[in-house]
Amino acid sequence: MSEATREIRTDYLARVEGEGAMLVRIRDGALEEVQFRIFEPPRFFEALLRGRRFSEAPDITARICGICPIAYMASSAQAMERACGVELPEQLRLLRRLVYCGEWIESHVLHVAMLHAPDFLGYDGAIELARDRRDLVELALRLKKLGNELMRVIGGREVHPVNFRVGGFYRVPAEAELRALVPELEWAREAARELEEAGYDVTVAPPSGDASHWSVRAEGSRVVDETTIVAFRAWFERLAADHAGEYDGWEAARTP
Amino acid sequence: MSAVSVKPKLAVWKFSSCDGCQLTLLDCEDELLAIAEGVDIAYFPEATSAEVEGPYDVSLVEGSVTTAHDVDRIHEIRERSALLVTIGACATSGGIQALRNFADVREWIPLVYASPEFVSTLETSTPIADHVAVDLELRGCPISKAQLVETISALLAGRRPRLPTTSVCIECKARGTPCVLVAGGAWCLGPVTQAGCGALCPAYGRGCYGCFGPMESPNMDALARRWHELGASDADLVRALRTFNANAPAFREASLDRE
Repeated sequence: MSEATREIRTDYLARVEGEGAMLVRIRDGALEEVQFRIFEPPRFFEALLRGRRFSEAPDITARICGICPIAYMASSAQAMERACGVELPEQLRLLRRLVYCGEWIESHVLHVAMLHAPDFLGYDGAIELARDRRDLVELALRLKKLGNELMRVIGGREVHPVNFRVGGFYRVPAEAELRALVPELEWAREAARELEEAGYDVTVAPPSGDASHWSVRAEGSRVVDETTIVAFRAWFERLAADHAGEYDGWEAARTP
Repeated sequence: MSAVSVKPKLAVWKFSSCDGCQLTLLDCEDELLAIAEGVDIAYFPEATSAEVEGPYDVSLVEGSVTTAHDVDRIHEIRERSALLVTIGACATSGGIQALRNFADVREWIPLVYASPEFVSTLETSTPIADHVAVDLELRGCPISKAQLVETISALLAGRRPRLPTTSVCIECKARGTPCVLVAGGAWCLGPVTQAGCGALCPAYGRGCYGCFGPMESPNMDALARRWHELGASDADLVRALRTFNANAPAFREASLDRE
């Protein structure tokens, strides 16, 4: 292999749904080869649905994915309802949307905080991240739990809910069961807003001109004082050091 | 004895599955960080890219065996694991993908995949115990969070976990759900299905669909008689038995008898 050839090989992609591997080969600064291999074994859902009753489709297709079963239950139920010319009354449609929102919250928090954030912040996983930032991981777990609570209250359980059927639900939740979720939902709305405000817009640029380094620019708005300035600087310096880079200070535009 | 306590090493492995059972571990929002303090999560690619070499004290295995490569892999995992616990219907009976065991999977490949030449698969989907010795199994599609936490705590404390072997009926009685099979007229697999879910489906007004698999010595004939009284045909019963635990011996034989 010549010195100008680089190979990035990942035999098992961690923190993704399913199983895959990736190989990237670069020669003289140009991409030469990319191989993406999915070795998740096939399960043939389309074939095994043949000969089943239409009413079985939601429970069977749910098993395509344990992280997002509602997506499959809802779409297969809708397909069957359309085939039968059935339209759901507004309340049932909203209830379906609500349980789907539960799945979005659960699945998106799982992906953002537990599967992807460790890569951006330089940790192996959320449990390792929790050693330094237990508060962040606890916040994520609480948000994720709320999504799961919606799934559980409306669907019966978090993974592969049992309450979904072609034409609606087996049982609608009691009003009291839904009302009990309101305080946690209100907390979560606030928490999500704060989390969003804590974020940075990040731009990554490849080396340009004579420079051999990639540039990474993080932009965000903060109210600063002497303590937070020191904390921000330390955080960025550590982040840069962890990734064999350097932190070049910051520029601040002041808004009155 | 050494004064230094070494945390037991836990590994989580995936075979052919939907990821839902290993997700159940990440769904233990209230217990996850405490579990991570009690055990060393040594291999769990769904949650961490860190990898600690084996041998492992406990391996949780999700999924069924459907490829030649996975046959080799489960033997390697068994060799490196002191205790091997299978989690969920795929690992304990072959899962929904074991419906291929009643058909010809070669006929399915071109039906589903545009380029069949990239697809390599065995003609059967088999449980882990068909290939290696299994120390403990957690049933369910998916497994129960409470049973998972109970199992991990029990193994940490060096005792046997308390897992029920009765039918779902006992759980319906315990939670006070009126019988959907006798009083409600629903086609329910509860009398032949192992407890553990908390009798969820009857509580939602539907019959149990058997996702925890057959209980010990189920009375299939008595169940069939009641289903027939309720207007179900043999074909209806066969379909009900052929879902997530279709390949579990008691369900498989009962469905083959009535085919």
